[in-house]
Amino acid sequence: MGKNLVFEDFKKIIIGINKTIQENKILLCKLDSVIGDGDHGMTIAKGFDSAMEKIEKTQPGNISDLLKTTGNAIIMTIGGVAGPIFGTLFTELGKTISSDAESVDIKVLSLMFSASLTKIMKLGGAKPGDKTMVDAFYPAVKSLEDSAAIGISIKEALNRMVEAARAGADSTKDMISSKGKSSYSGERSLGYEDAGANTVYFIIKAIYEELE
Amino acid sequence: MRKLINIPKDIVNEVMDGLVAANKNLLQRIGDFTIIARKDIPVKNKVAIVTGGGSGHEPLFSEYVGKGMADASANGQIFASPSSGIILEAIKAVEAGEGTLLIYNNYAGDVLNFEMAMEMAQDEGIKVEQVIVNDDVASGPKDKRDNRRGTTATPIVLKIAGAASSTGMNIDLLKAVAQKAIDNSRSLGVSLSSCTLPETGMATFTLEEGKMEFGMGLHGEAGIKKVDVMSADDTTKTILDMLVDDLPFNKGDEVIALINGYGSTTKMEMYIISRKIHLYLAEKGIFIYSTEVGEFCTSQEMAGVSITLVKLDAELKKYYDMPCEAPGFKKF
Repeated sequence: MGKNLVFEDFKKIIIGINKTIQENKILLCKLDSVIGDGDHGMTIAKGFDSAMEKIEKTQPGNISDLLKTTGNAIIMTIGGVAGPIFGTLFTELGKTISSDAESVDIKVLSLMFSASLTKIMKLGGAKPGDKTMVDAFYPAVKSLEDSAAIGISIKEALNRMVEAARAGADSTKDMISSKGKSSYSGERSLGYEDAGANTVYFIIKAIYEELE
Repeated sequence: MRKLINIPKDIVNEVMDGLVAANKNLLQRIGDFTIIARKDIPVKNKVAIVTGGGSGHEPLFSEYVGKGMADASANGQIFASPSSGIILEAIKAVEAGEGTLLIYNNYAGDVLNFEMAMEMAQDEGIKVEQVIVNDDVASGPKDKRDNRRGTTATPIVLKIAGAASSTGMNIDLLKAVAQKAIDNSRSLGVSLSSCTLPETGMATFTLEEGKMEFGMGLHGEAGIKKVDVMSADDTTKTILDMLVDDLPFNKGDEVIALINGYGSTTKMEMYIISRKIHLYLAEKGIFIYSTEVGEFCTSQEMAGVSITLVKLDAELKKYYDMPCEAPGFKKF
């Protein structure tokens, strides 16, 4: 089954996600500039900046609080649809476990991500095919659920999640945006990847790489 | 793109600072936040009103902050909702012990962020209620008004609610008055050109030369009907046919008629439309109590107009007539 994730792992993960997002913010802006307003990368990066600041200041002491602090900082800082959606991704991961949970195995990790996906789809109303972050997040979470059911290691499960998220982000190229601000561009969105789906890919890729 | 701007990422901040500088006796900015507030907040013995939404629609929202209108506006980046954090700061800044009513337009991002801010404020013990403006008849059928976007009725709703709040009524009564103003409002617009996003210089949509589109959204959302450009009179008639039928507005009703320019439409065109509105409604036996002509809610340099009709009763008329002093709306 491989090793479980502990608080130190999650701290490394959050730092790693922030680093990956900061490194790729220009790329995310470029993706967004074709069908959005070109600020997605900067906006998401600003959200993670404030999450790092908040973590530094409040020093959350367990996995649940760390994830909730990260998400709440993003929600408070970023507007549009991206703030509530990407913030909720983390707050729901944190809310699914209790504050005394000291480690997370693949089954719990899968439950955490499933809860996060469910809440995001309810909040934003997006389904797979709407050309949103859900198109990367949905297959990634489903892949994790499958991995949890067959009981492979967390590391291998995350590797499969990265692949599923990448394929999902690629698939948005052939979709017409019908949710969020990019939906204003309608059919013009065809042929371009969704920026939010790529952000999901970078987040999951960063988690995987931190555990290598 | 031909726009007089500096660094794109500074646009919203610079607009805030310029607006306050030009109205220094009326308005202030709250800290570094993209919040515009009345100079004299918190105003005692009154429910506070917070509005807001994406920037780029000036004079909406911040020019409707002032005496007898909104107490504060929470502003996002261009065409994007403010964060729940900014909205929460606005609520805390204006709160004077009587609670706060949120009045904003029906867009996914705004609903998400305003509702999150409302929950956070309630957790801090502040009484907060909300009404969501959804006057645009093009964005959903009559029986699904929840899907409809908020557009140019917002200044009128803020005018009426602002006046009502200044009488000291409680938050539940105020919410009912604001909701009645929304329920009595219908708007529809027509676009003759696209607009460009100042951050990228890219057009939000393309509209071929010689075409016009009814029901286009404030951010280029697809409309309901694309046709060859029609005369001002025929355009006005097409819009009014839909508006009058939707509420419906009936013979003997009294209305406010608001003609809004989207950004690059001239006052000349707006007055030609005003003329036709008066002829059309007179024929239907609908009485125009007041006509507002100008820019109330723009979409950058988009060409086109929207028409809003608001049906009045004695209560709404009383609040509409009360004095107000906001940069974008003054009544004495």
